[in-house]
Amino acid sequence: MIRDITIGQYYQGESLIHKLDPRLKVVGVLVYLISLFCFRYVIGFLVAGLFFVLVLKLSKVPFRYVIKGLKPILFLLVFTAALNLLWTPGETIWRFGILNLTKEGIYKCIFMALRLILLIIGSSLLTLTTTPNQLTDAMEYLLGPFKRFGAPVHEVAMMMSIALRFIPILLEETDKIMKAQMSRGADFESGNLMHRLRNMIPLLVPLFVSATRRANELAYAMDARCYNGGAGRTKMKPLKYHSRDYKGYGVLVVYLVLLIVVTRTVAI
Amino acid sequence: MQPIIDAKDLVHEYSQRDEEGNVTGINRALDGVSLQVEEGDFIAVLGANGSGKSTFAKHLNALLTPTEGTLYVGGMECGDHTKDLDIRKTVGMVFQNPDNQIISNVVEEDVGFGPENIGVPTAEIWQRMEDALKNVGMYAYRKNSPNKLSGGQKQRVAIAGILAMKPKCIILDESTAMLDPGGRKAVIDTISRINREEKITVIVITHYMEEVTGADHVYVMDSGKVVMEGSPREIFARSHELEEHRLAVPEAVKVAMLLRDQGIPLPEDILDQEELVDAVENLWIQR
Amino acid sequence: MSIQLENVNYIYGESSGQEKWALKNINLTLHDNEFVGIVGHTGSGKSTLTQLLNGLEKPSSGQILYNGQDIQAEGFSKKELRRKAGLVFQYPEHQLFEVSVIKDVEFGPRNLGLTNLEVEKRSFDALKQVGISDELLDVAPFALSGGQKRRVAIAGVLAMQPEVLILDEPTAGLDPAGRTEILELLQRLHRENNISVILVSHSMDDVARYAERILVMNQGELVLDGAPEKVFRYRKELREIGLDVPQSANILYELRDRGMDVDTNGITPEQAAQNIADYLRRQS
Repeated sequence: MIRDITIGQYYQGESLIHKLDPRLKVVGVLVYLISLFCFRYVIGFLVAGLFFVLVLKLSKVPFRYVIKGLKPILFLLVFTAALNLLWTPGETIWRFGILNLTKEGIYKCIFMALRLILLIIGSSLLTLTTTPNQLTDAMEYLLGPFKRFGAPVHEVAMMMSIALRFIPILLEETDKIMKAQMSRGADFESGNLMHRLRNMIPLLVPLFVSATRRANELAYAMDARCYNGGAGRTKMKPLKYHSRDYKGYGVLVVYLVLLIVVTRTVAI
Repeated sequence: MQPIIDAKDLVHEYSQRDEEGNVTGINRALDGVSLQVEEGDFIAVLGANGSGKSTFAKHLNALLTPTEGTLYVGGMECGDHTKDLDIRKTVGMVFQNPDNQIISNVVEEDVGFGPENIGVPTAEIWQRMEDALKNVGMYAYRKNSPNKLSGGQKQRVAIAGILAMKPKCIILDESTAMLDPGGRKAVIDTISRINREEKITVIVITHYMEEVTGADHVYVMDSGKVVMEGSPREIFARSHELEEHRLAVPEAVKVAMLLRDQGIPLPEDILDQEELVDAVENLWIQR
Repeated sequence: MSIQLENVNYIYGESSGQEKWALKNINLTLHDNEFVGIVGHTGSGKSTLTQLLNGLEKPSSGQILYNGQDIQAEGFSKKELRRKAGLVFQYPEHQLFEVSVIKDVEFGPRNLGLTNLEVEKRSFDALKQVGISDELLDVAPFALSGGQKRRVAIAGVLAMQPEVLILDEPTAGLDPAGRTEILELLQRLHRENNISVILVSHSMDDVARYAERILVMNQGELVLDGAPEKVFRYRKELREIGLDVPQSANILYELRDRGMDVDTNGITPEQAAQNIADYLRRQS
């Protein structure tokens, strides 16, 4: 049951988007997300949406994979949409008790929903086309300037990549421990909240003990392979910009200019 | 020639503490171990669980420091931590649990981890990774996630990760304990070949007797001491003694011993099934 | 107690489109008071099989009958099934969690809703059966040696008084003496308490000497089923799937292959030595 969970879902591919430098992709997604908050008219979504479709086509990731990312936030999406739809003050169209459907409400609802959807599918395109290792590399590079202020940037990036490696292992282990305890009559599914929390102890203690042991052994193994922090380390896969990446930055700028021009001239 | 490993009267003590941190007892895991390993040798250290064999192994890699005694690895003294990195470059270590020593999510990147740490230039890291993975027969899996590999395959990746650092000596610290028979054989075959072909010194720490038949020299440990040493033949001839140390000879050796007990004139130094069958056949022909 | 498997299949990852058959068309009856060894490689389906037997996993198709009752049927108590078919997992670290050995063993019987007195009595008895001495009762389970942890884990299941004890690789990682101790403990439980034992292992050597019946699994299929001597006759077939008969038996067969007419019925070194000695004496 627990084995079905996939984390940092990466869609294996050789497309142009897959090949782009991860730094460009991280910067691009950040710029894109911010851009979604920079316009007040629905027309902006036309530009942002077209840009998304363009990148999606280039990435060759099937649309349904991107949609999957929306599933966990479906509730949030419906909730905010309903909230905006029924409680926005303005020109009333329909009224029932405290519920107040307004023209402004409908507009705001569509606006918020579109923004939320693009936020999610935009950022999931990043994880779908970038391996976790590339992501941490890009983070380490982009946060590099903070090293000067003593921020442990390399260490944090290393921690992230180790965490990603061990999540599936610990999930599998959780599954085994649950089964071992269920074989002794443990019940993880019924009872009230307090009861359930208490029932988790037979799961959490072995899991915690095991994770600690793993951490210990991993520390030994890293020591044994001469790991000594970031200083003096070389890179097997150093990040290097290619001409396609510069073009990518160019495309990003064109998108931004287009977005500004369109939303300033067409007020829909 | 100077031995690659030279231990003299090595003692290691763990102190047990109560909740306030007061020392409540001292546990002597190593109790006066002296042994020397020559470069290029294949050495086995045998011992039951808790015999101190793993504690000993961790000293050779400067992961633990001796409480008493001296230890030289590649001519460098372990103890002050100034030489730790050089010692670890000389002696690489493969651990017991395959999952807890693979750092990266991609096989090839894991093999590159060691070379990255010691500052090998990028192009050479790729060369070393390729050579090392080909050497252990895992090159075809270089783009895979380690999570999809079997235990034996993971251990071979771990060996490649050490090989890529070009050490003079590789230690397998109970690296076969969690594997099934097939995985165990693949790991031992790989490391034996590396010993022969690359002239890398190999030290295998284990309690599986079948794994030590190819060793040049065997040490048996119990309660932190070296209690027996010799060639595999010499060690296996003393099977009653081995049993006292919670170990057992391979079944073929045991059968040979039982036959000798019954007065069947078999040679004393039978090592495996093939030698036993040959010896019985010889007797049969004579009769 | 009897467990019947009828046309049991188990398929992984049907939803993701990458189907993997962990078990293929298993038909099998496990009888009361048997000592059964299940042998196979990692990935042969043997662990999945154990989890089907006590209802932790559901078969993709086919039926499992416990004492003639379908365990997937509505109203069949899975909790009761897990008590009767006690499963001990490979690593004791996966189940030990309490502050003391005795409390940890009490976890199972307490979940059965027994009285305190009964819980304590059963736990105490179970620990005695597995040979854990009284001074260890209040020790933290994490402070025990590997062999002791396994005994405590076995006691934790025994204290629920199962009809059949299923163990997944109970000797993995133990030294030779520790391995023998655990296997002899299982044999004693089987003989003295009339409990059925199902021992899963990748080592033929472990299973051969103790089991009365051996099931050989390969790639999800049950390929051999019978008494040890009968199973070992298929030496070539076993070797093809990468399993070996126990060394002692192998030696006897090897001698026979070279033209010596030794009695090949023998699994232990003692039997092998006896057979060879008898043969050589007959020759002179």
